[in-house]
Amino acid sequence: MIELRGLTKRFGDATAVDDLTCTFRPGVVTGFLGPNGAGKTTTMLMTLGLQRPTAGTAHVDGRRYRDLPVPMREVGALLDARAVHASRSGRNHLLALALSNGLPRRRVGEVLELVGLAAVASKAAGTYSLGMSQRLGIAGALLGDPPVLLFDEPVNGLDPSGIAWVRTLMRDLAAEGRTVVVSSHLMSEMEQTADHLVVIGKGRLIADTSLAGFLAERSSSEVLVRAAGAGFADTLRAAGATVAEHVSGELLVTGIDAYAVGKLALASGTVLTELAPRRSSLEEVFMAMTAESVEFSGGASR
Amino acid sequence: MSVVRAEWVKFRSLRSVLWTAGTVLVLMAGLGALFSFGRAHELAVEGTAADRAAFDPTAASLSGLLFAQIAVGVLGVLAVSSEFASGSIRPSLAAVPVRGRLLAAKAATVTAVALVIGWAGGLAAFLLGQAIISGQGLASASLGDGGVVRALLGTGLYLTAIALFGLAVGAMIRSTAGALTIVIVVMLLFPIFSAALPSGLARWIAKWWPSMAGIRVVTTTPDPAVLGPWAGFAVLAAFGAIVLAASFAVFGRRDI
Repeated sequence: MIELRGLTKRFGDATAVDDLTCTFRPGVVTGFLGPNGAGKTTTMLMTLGLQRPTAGTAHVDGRRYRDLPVPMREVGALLDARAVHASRSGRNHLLALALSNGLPRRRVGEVLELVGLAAVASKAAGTYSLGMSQRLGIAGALLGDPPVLLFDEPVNGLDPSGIAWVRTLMRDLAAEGRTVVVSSHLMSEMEQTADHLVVIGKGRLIADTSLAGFLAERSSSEVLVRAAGAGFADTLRAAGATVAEHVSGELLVTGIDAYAVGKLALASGTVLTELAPRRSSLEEVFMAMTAESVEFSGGASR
Repeated sequence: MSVVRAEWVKFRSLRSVLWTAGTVLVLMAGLGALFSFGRAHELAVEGTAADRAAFDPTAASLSGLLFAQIAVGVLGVLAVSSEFASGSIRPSLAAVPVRGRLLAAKAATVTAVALVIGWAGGLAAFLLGQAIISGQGLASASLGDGGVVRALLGTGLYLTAIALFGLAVGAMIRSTAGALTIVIVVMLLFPIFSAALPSGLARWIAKWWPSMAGIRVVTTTPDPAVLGPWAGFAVLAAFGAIVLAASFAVFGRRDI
């Protein structure tokens, strides 16, 4: 379990993380979401003791990270997958990490097998593809078999089969009762992986909720209706719905659900040629929610 | 101790670092042999009796030290700066969050390496050089001569001090190029150019500048104008200790 309390980081005038309070719980995959520059990485760096908070605390199972006696047995982290000396072999990179925490040498071989890098373990890490580097970083995080795992953008650079592999791994790790935090700036990644979401924008907490709750609360559900003959829009409006009429004859209905639309059609004797509930995707909700807090945006697209 | 073992793995797993370490040995023995031959041959062919009497065979055979110290300074700098350059400093410090412990383990590794190659290189240079000098028909030095054993111990100590200075500067500056520039200017270039300064200042610098005072520990000829072997080395060691302490303070607090 990771607990952030009032965590704040300022770099001069810029506030990267702003009074962030939240808890990452065990047994679930928590998606840590935010646009680029939202403060996800800075939050992770402070949690790992690599950067000093301006204010507030980050605790792992009730202790500061630097007070953990054997850190790699408590927390495994993947930060930047490319942060490996290019001419050191993957195996030696992992061996140095393992030895520094007094972990047995056999763990190196075990995690290399687990991530599928055993065949290239003796090659220089600089020759690895981005996907292989991600696997090496994940191997490093798993060395100490820790109950808490932090992954910063772990699927970056992975091919579809790699992405599927990471998703399965995350879910398996959480199912074993571990705390799994996965940061991403892509909401779509999280729809299939995360159980819980912590969303930040400009360093501030925007949402801390279950994935289902997030969708239910935040997404506006619309119903797309196409009716034979005119006048149905007024019928819907009379029933309290908000209707947007398109030139193509499409009606976008909000305020009442598809069942109510169907009942109104039956009552008024209207033939519906199309009736489709439309739920905004997680991506759309996320975009709408973080629109004001996007650090850099192309002016026209807003 | 486990952190030192980890640092040793990092050290031995980089070919560039092993090459640098090998270069120190070659510079010490090879340049020592070359200088010994050149100087001894010159004296044998055209030297006067006074020239030959003033010849210091120990110093001639150890003259590769001036160049070896640059390579050793590079080793010290790279021990930290290569981690910043590659970004591996983050996983390293996530694994060892007590920063002083990581830097101390790096210092221990660098010390062990510099001592061993300094002693091995110094002994090889001395034995090779003396064989060459006596081959030219000049009086050579032997291990039993006054101060020779101390001078040979001194090669390892002097190079260790330079390596730790490099490590400390690397930990503070973080960039390899910047740290190397500082090490070379402070340890090598400034002492050379100080000769051009007004003579009073130049004499003071020759006596007290850390690298110039420190190198007295590898000399066997007393010189009243400068410090004695151990006093001189103490100046270098004290300077190194201050810079190293500063690097622990900076490295311990900084956002990585």
